[in-house]
Formats: sequence, structure tokens, C-alpha cells
Amino acid sequence: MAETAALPVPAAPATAAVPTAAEKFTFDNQGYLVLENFLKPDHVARLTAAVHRAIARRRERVRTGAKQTGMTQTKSEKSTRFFYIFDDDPLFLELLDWPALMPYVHAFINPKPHHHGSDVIVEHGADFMDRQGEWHIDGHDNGYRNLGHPIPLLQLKVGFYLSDMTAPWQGNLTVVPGSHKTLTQPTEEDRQKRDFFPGAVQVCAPAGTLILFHNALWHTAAPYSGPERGRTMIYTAYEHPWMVGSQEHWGYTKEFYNQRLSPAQRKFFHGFVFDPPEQRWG
Amino acid sequence: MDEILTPSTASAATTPVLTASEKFIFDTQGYVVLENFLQPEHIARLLAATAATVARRREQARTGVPQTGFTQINGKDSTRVFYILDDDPLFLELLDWPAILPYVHTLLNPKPHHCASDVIVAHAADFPQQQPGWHIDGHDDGFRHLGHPIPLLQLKIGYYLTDMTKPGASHLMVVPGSHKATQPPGAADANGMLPGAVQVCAPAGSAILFHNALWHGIGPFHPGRSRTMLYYAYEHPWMVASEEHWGYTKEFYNERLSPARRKFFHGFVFDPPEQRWG
Repeated sequence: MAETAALPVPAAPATAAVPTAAEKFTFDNQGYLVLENFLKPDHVARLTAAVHRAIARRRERVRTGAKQTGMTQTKSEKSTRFFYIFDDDPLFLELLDWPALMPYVHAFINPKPHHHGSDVIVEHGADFMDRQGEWHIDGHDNGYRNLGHPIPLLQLKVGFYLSDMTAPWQGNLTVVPGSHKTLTQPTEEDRQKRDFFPGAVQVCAPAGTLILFHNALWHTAAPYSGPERGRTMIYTAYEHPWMVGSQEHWGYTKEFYNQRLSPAQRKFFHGFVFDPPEQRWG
Repeated sequence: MDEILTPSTASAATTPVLTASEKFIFDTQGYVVLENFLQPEHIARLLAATAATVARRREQARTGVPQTGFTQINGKDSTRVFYILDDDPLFLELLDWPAILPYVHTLLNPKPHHCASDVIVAHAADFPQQQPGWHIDGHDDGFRHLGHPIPLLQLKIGYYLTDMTKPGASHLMVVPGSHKATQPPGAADANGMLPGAVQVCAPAGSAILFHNALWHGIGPFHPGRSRTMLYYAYEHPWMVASEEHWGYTKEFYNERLSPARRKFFHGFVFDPPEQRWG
């Protein structure tokens, strides 16, 4: 468990005029929105420390075979990705309903959002020098393609950069702006190009940046230009309250659900995960 | 309880496949009508099961006995019962009736989940002021905020159990093509009708499949007329279904569902929970 207490949670700003009309237009038109300096430097530092504590604990669990809430991928001694992170550290859990984030989640996807997924990524370039392609869109049933076009917004993905990503070719989230509305798909050949195809954009931004994007936006992680480079980031995702969430959610303990969630945070999960179940809709 | 029927189309070799015409009609009109879908003897058994269920549910409502779903009572003869799969084996077997599944798999999802079920018995005398009640289905005000066209998230299936070939029996009314409308309908006329609305007239045994975003309501109810029908709804496996589902007993989930039928529900409803996706 974390040794440091969570940061004092800032109150929602008095002028809660976010997202702005320009931000809404950008998200609708481009399929993603970048908010630089969203997390303050001391918050980034605490989250980064929490990431390393969690990785050490997760890797030990992998070694010993101890049960974990979500999967832990260990690429090498240095690179780790682990999923379903809210019981790994209170600092992760408080991101779930971080006040400055909520107006965007409410406006973009649903005024009563549910949590869908979360993970932490720590990559060292040396482990990913052969990365290429991996372009995809998110969502069940092959990215909800069976629902027709445009594919609706069913999952709002939220990425937090915890390391400096102002330069390209270090695993940056890479997107094709506007591709969430495309009627076609990138060809298999284009998807494998290490230098990307026309229109692909690497999101270059400083630590503390927030990136929100649409489930149907074509995206991937950029290849590495050198083995000494790397990235640390957190992903969370939200969905509609009439969606089921992920089965991995149900791997959180009853103690987590019953004791560690605030009343507001409980609303991000279905009532059936609690003991006794909460008889409520959504 | 009535004895269940052996589905006449259980063989994969005889499982019907949607025609291109049916797919086209559903896509463009938002609904498709399959006449003579249920055989007359099947209809008769379902009507008997409905009558028995209505009598039992009304008694449960009168005495305050807990029920899986809600029971609406309108007058002496009219009843609507929700979440009926544990009310009679005949209702349960319609869930994955072999002749309907190709439609559900093709139109909605190859791994469909069950969303809801209900049975309606309505007599005109109990609804002297009936209005169409035009609406579309789905959460969040009919999934409108997902943009246009509203995607197919719930496939509704109505089964007429009484003859509905002549209008005026509180028919399902629809506005063909309205599932793709980019504008809400204007005000209904003095008779409560929307432009282009049609009453779905079809014989007993007809199945009517329609899109959640299709504007629909109920038609005029002329004196002396009545209707009995069933509704089933399916959704995608990544949707959560209805809280009322969780009102079915563990005995129902654990003992009364075949392995194939368990797949229409999330694993968490079983005891112990099934650790599976969808």
C-alpha cells in the first residue's frame, strides 16, 4: 500500500466553463483533445513514485504467483504494464473522479459515467526498438464496427503523461486526427509503417498532460528512436452507465468496493459489485 | 405449467437464414414482420401459459408476494407482466427459439444478451382514453446523445398471440424509417397519429422485429377488441441489461437455464459467478 497520503483534492474551479466550445469542437472534429499542464509537477512526481512502488509490488506478485486484480505484463526488468490499478495506490484511485477531469467526462460521454478500465505503462526504449504498426481502435466486437458509421462514442479514453513527451519517437500516443469518423480503414501495409502514413500525428506534450480520445480514433504508440528513451503514463477509460464494464473490475475485493470508495466513486461502478449489492440502476 | 414444445426447427440444417430482402427491409424501414412465425398449436400453448401467468401474477400482486418483475393491472381483464422467463417454460424457450436466433445473430450480435421480456393482455374496455405514447427505446433518452443514426443497441421482438389482421386492436404502430430520422417527430395530429405511421396488421403467430430507435406506439382501441402479445428484447454482450434481471432467483439461473441459455446473461448473475466475458 502507498506510504504517502493522497494530495488534497482541489475543488472544482468556480468558473467551471470547461470544456470550452473550442475544446468541444476539437474533440468532436479531431476525435481527441490535449490539455497540457493538467497535472501539477508535484502531483506528477507523487504519481510517478506511486507507479514505481506499484510496479515493484506487482512484479513480486508475478514472481510468487500471488493473486492480482488485473494482469501485469513484464517485458523486461525495466518495462512493465499493469491493469486495473485503483487498489494499487490511493493516488490512482483519486484520478477516477478528479474534479478537474469530471467536466470533460460528463460533457463528452455521459453525465453519469461509469469506469471502464485503467492501466499504467512504463516503457524503456530498449525493449521496444522493434515496435511497428499496432494501429487499432478500441472497443468490443472489433471496435464496435457492427454499429455502423460513424462509430459512436462508447468509451472515452483518458491518458496522463507522467514523463516528458515533448519530443517524438519515444512511445508517444500517435493518432490519426478525425479518423473516428472514417468510413474506411488504413491498409494493412500502412499500419505497419514505422514512419507512419500521411495524417498520423504523435502527441508531443510535457509531463502532466491529459489526452482524451474517442474509442473509434485510430491510434498506436510510436516506435522508439533510441534504446535510452522511455515513457511513463496512466490510462483510464469511462463508458456509459448502461454498459457492463469489464469483468476484471469484479476482481477488485469486496473490501475495496465497500470500504475504499467514496459515495461518489461508488457511482462509477454497478451496484452488483458491492456486498450487499446496491439496488440501483446504473 | 404447460409442457414445452420441441422446436420444429432445431436442426441446424433447417435453421432459416435471413433473406437479402429481410435485411434490406429491416435496414431501411427499421422493422420486419414475419407472419406465421409461430405455429397455431404453439400459439395456443402460449395463450394458456399467458392466462395462467396472469392469474398467478395478479394474485401475487394482490397478496404482496415478491415478483421477479413488475405487474401492471388495468381493470378486471388487462394485465402487463414484466420479466416473464421464470413464469413458464414456454416463455423461457422463446429466449433462444431456433427459428428466431438467426435474426438476432444477423441483425444485432452473434453473441446476443437478453435485455427484457413482457407479456401484454389488453382489452379495450380497460383503456377508454388510450393514447399512442410515441417513443423510442433505450437508456439516456433513447441513446439520442450517441449521434445519428442512433445505433442498433436493442433488438425488440413482438409476438402477436391474437389475430391482429384488422386495425383497431391496440396494434403496435410504427413510423417506418424513423430509426434514421435526424429530427424528432412533430406533434401528433388530433387522432394522435404521426405522419407516415402504420398499424402493424398481421395474424396471430407473427413476429415483429424492430430497431430501438424506431418511433413506435400503440394504435387505436375500438370497443370490444383485445390483444395478447409477448415482447422480448436482446442487446449486445457488452451492455449491462436490466437490474430487474437480477431479481430472478439463483435457482432460476443455476438450475433452469441450459448451457446455451446461460450465455444470454452475464456470468455474475450465477452462484458462484461464471468467470467469463459477455
